[in-house]
Amino acid sequence: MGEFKSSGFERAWLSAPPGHRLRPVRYEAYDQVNGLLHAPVTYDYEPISPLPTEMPSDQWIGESLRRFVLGEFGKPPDRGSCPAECIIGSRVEVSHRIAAMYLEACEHVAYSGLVKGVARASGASMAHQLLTLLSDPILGNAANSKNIDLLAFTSQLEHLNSEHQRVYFLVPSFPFKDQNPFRTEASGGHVDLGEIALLIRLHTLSLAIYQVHPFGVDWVIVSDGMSYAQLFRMDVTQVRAYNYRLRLFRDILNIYSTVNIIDLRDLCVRAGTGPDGVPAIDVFSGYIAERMQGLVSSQSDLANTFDVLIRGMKWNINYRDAIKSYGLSREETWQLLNNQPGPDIRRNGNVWAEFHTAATEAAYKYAAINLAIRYCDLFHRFFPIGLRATTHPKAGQVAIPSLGSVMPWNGVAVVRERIETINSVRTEPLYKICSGSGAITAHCVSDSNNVFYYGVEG
Amino acid sequence: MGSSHGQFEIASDHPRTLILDSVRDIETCQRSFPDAHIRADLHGLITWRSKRSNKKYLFFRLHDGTGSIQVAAREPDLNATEIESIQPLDVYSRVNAKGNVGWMTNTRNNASQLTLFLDAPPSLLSYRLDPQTTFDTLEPQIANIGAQIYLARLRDRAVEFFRSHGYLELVTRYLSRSWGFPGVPTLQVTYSGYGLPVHLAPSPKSQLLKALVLTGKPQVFSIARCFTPAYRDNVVSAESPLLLAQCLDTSLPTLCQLAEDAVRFVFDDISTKPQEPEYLQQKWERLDHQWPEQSTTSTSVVPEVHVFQMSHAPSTDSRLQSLFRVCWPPDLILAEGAVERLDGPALVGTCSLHFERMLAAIRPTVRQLQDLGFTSPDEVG
Repeated sequence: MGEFKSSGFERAWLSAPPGHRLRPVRYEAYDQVNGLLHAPVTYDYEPISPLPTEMPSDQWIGESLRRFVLGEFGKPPDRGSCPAECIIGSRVEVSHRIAAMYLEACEHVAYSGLVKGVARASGASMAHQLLTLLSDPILGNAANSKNIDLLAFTSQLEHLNSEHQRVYFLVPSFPFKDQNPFRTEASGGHVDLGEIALLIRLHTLSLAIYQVHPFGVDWVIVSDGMSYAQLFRMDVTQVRAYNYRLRLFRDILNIYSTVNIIDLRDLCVRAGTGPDGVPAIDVFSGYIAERMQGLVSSQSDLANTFDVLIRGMKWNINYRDAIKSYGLSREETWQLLNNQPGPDIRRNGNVWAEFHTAATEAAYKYAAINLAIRYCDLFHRFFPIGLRATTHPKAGQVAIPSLGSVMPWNGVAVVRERIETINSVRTEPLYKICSGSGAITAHCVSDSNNVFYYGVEG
Repeated sequence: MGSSHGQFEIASDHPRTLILDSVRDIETCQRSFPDAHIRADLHGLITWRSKRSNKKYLFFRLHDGTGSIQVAAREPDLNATEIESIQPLDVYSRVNAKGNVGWMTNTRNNASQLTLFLDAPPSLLSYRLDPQTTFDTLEPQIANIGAQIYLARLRDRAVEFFRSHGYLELVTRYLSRSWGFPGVPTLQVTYSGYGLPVHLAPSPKSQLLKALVLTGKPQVFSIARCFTPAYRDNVVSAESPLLLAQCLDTSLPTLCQLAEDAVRFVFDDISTKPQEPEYLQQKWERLDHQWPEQSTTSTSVVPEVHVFQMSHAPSTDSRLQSLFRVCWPPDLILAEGAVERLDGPALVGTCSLHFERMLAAIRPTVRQLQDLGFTSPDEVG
């Protein structure tokens, strides 16, 4: 990481002692070279409050599991029958400069009359203006208008303003490139224009908000790839490669001051260890996973909820090696990943069982880690002044901009015609872009065989 | 790990209203958000008007300094009487035009043109505004120009003060090939084909010390801008104008007195210069300037001088003697400075006056946002 530029926030975070959180403090300093006083932010370290001493109750686990699955996966979708194979018309080489072009298009929007126009229309308080920008369908996410309570938001902002503090939005995200073959063809370490576009959109939102808020906002991406790599059957070297490329592009685009990246696993480990040296969060998640198994087997409604989670895991787990080794057809793979035990699957009963077992085990672990983080209130414990942001719009959390029907790591970048506006880059699962009638061109950068973005006609 | 099961809907770019006050913004937003309903509120100069106007329609072009746009007055948006009232407008008329923006197709060549469709007769910009109108109630664009005029006057007064006190004025440079110092970070300028970016110096302090050496004068000053993305307070912008002065062989009390006198002098009269009979000037002459009297009659009101030691100075650096500030209560720093020891007993004093903060003290609502907005016309064309 040393080879990339880091923000002051990241440097402070990396230097923080275990069990300590950052407390941003503005102080006044006299710059002798310039003969001017200024007010930079420094980060003090203070111990986090102790983790709970007791394990969560079964009731808490059950209720939290329901809320978690509903918030993350919602109603299971019916994706229908297996889509036709994607036909890529041609392959062309493009420059990384494409990302800079998109940045330019977005910054034009941030400095266009849009912010003024939106702020003028919302009028009144700064909090209202800020929430309007966060809810703007172009700059932010329209879901925020119904999910964020203005009064509570105003109260949080007033507290931060009284201390001359920036707003920190914490968003767990950017794990690694999804390995579902219907969503992407790329390797797990690939960062395409979709991911870069989302970084740019967060940066753009910061620029816009800075025009109505005197201290501005920082995005803190809590990258969760290392936390979930094993259970999603991801090679950690791919996760590291993903993180590397993410920081590389952030550096090249000079947006590292508005979009910070820290690691969720690192955050969890910093919360403390038990007497035997095992991270406390692992102790909690281990207990939760164990209790959850008992609850799911004894409560039918919880079992139904858990089935939704298993479906979701199948669609997300990296089964590429298994698909290859079993020589599964496209249709068979579609049925397996969509939890559809059709006739073809029955012929491959052992495959079905293997996929299902892996997904079930992963679902327990995935849910347990998430519930342990919630039970320990880790985000608030480490960042008490931070506001939670999310990729899945839900009440009380700020939804980040959406570039398409999936988040960038769950799909591919799609550009229709040229990169001219903030809406030029979309993110979709690969199989969906192939269902249209327009010709598809794969655009690759010279140092990678992975597709940087798909150009779609029409 | 985030996942999607289709519950994550794409935010729809639904039509909504944007109220825009420049042609450049209208063009940008129209291009970026073609579905948005754009309302225009433009202050501009008529640069052309159709000779084929009648009681049912009239066209003219309006230039607002950022670009120009066709303006249409037509039925049924306006009635015949309203259209008739616009007839006297001609080239060079300055108007405030409001209406909806859309495309109009020329039937002769079938070309579409971005057009502001008036829904009210444009109002002629009057140079004799209501004397009761206050600076705070002005429209943002006019208030912005007003702030710029005010800043110029504050600067003029400050320059007058330092000149009258025998300070030599210099025009210093902004560009610096390198800038590796800690402290206030610089804004950088990228030259195409010139490799690494150059830096915009946040202050001319080092140049002033050089000038003290080369001119043999004991005291110099320069008007400059502090270019920096750093947060200094919630008033100053990323290109904040300031005056920086330096003098040799001074003491803290002397420098404090100089800064306080300078602030009092600047605030003593900024409304009477210049004397052009412009409407903004006339309006500002009517403003209630109570603060000079307050500052002379009550030392407890404004300004106050705060002298303090720098709490964050490196303990190993003995060059910094002391710091001071002239504050507008509660915390607006109008002037600040320091006395530093050069190698040996020689002392140099630095004092800076900050015009945006002075402006904020006068009119808090005219706040200079940290705005990196456009200042050039039509750059997105």
